[in-house]
Amino acid sequence: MASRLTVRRSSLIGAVVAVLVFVVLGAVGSDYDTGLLTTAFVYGIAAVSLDLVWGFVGAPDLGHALWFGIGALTVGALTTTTDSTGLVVSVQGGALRYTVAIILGMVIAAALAGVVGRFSFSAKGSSFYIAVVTLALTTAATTLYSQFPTVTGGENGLFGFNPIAVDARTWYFVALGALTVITAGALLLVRSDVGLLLRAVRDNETRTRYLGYNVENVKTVTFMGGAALAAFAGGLLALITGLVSADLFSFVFATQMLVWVAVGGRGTIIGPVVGAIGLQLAGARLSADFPTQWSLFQGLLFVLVVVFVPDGILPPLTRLAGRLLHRGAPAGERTIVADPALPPERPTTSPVISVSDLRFGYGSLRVLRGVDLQVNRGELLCIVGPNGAGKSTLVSVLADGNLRAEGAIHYELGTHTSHRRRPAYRIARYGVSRKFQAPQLFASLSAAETILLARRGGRLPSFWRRTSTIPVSPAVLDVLDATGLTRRDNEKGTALAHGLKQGLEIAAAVSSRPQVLLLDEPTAGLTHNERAVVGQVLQRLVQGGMTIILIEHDLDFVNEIADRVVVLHEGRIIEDGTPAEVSRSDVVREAYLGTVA
Amino acid sequence: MTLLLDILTAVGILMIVVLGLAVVLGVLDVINLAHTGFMAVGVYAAVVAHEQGWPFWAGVVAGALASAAAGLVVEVLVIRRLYDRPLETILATWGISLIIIQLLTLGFGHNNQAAGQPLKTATSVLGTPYPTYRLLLIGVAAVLVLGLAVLIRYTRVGLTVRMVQANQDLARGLGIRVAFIRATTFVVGCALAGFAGALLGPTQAINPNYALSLVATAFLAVLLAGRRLSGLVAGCVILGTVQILFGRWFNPVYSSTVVIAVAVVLLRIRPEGLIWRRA
Repeated sequence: MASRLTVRRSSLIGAVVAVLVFVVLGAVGSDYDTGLLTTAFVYGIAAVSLDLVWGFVGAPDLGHALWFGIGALTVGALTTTTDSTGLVVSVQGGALRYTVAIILGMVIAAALAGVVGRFSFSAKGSSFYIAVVTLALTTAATTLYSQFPTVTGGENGLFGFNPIAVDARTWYFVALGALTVITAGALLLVRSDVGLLLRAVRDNETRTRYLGYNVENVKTVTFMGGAALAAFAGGLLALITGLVSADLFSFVFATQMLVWVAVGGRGTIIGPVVGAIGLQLAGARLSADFPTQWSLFQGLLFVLVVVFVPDGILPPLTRLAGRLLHRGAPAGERTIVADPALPPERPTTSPVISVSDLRFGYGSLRVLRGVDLQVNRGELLCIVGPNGAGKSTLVSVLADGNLRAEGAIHYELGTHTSHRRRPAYRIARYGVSRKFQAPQLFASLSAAETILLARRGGRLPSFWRRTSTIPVSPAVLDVLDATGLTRRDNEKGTALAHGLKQGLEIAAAVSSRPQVLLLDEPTAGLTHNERAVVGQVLQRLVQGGMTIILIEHDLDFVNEIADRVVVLHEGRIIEDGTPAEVSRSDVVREAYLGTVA
Repeated sequence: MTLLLDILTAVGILMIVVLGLAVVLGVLDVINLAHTGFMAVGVYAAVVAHEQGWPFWAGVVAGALASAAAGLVVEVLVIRRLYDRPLETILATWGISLIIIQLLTLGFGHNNQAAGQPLKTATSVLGTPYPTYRLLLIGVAAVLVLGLAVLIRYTRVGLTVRMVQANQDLARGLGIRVAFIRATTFVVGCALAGFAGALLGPTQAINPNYALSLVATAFLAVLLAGRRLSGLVAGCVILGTVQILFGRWFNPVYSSTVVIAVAVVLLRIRPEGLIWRRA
């Protein structure tokens, strides 16, 4: 606890000192320097907005300048009147008009970003889409800009609409204030519980989906927020300079934003701000005298950072500083604690999932050829079968309604009764939790953070609070204990040993208190002892009222723990009964060994 | 008739531009945002060749070779290190495209250049006179697509490349030099870009931002292709047709925006590409 406070306090002190230095600079600095810094602060805001989109939800927005430009243009267009060639003939200022224009710009940007996000983020689509689409939009925007001179001022742009009463020094402090507030707000957001969700989406979309979160919505909303924030920065810059031109929309400017964020360190909020201010200051003199060389240098810097220091410059520096100051302990540890207040899972008996004549294939390959299956509440059902029998596919079809299978699946999950095929995150929210065959964890989330997201089961975490204790049901603690994860709460999921990863996966799947648990080979790659422990854990979960569907290859293990065994062979169920019945079956022996005994 | 020929040339130009991009994406899973940069390298090589008094077609070959050389340098220095980070390659190639543009600006200035104007004649197609060079482009596009289809489908080279694409570890285990195949593919993609750049020189304004007007449409067409040559053709046909028809009937300035909108909607409906193996 003590070390955590020191780390937090030292970074807080650092931030306050930085702001104070800039305040003093604002009072004593030359007009040239403060003017430069004013622009740099606004760029800092734009960098923060891009970092939220690219660094946190992992959507590389190659045309982020578009949103900046929209904000600036809205301010320009609402405060000027032009003749038919786009020449500004009169200016209508006023505090109210400026305020409305900035807000309107943010709304327009967010709305357009919403449409773009809706179309570009999809579960099946490639993550390249958003990059290509934003790039395309930027090129289109610069073309369109010159086509509406009465609104945009055409080739010359709009100018002279800034409030005359406000002097440059005031703008300096306004920009500094805005940057400080927005950076602090963004830091609060990404360090809160919802920040974990953003990083989870970036690290592993599929897994996040199966935790019950609507990944597309998370990405779209973040994208909209980033666009609105960039539009605010654009509007502010337009107010300060009184200038709007097509340059603000251009991909050159968009690339500059990428450089700030990449060099500073994406996913750190502070890094991009440092990058924007630093490069703006360094480039100011150079870009005036040697524009081409400066662009060339930025391009080289960008490529070098992407290839060799993908984290950017800030994270290695802070690690170094931490080591030098002997404050290496990671900030903000989280602990998992038992929550006795949560009631045990409710015991029941009726069928929970019934499947009839289910057919599914990949291309011409038919995998499921008419599966009929009834899963009863509170049973531990094992699905066995030779490789390629369709076991994993069956589980996938049960957990994701977007896989277009023929036949009927009926879910009877207490409050949710449904025949309809739902997307994976909806099924997860109904109480069907899934563990994948290979562990799928989040690179930047600790064990405790993974559990935190999992146990919310798709409900949005807090936007500002940072939970440090995570109450979980006794069943989860049981899993963590049994698999040796106790007191490893703050280790990164992907850095754990294989057995521990499997344990964490099961714990995560259990912690949303699901009614049905789908486990695809939870014991693959485990030692004999670990396997026995997992078996006991699963049996205790079933005693607690959970329904478990388990895919397994190890028949001895199955015989030990299963209530019922289903044998899948070539896409059909060929045997269904108690472990003893199934192991006596001739049909099963034939399927496995190829001959009738 | 002119309209039909316009559409055919637009589709043809798109195909020529997109082919190198599609090869790199299909085999390496890399979206080469520097593609237009390599096209620019190609066309500037052709410009230099033209100034030296070389014939036009020698300039086209020089363009392809220059881009191939540039591609080799980029592959060895950058792309090779990023194969397991596909999203980063987008950013890296974007940076490279910036670098190429700036280098060309430093070397040649902002002004428009000329790469020669071959086949200035017009040919009559069913009574409609049409520039011979543009007709030739349609033919080149067709030959390139058919050639690539044959190469992938029926030759040992195609088989090897498809193996690398499907499972690189297994391919490596079978004694295929995966790194070599990848480097070669990238270089071939860049050579195609240079070839396309030089070939289209007579139809475009040649400056450091060469072909940037084509970039959005080209990348969207590749996404629509969904890793299949037939999808690529379909994507180019749809986007090329939309571009010309909208430009003809409404306003050509907005047609690039409309193309983007059409592509984005199509991508939403068919996120895995226009054509895939049906069940």
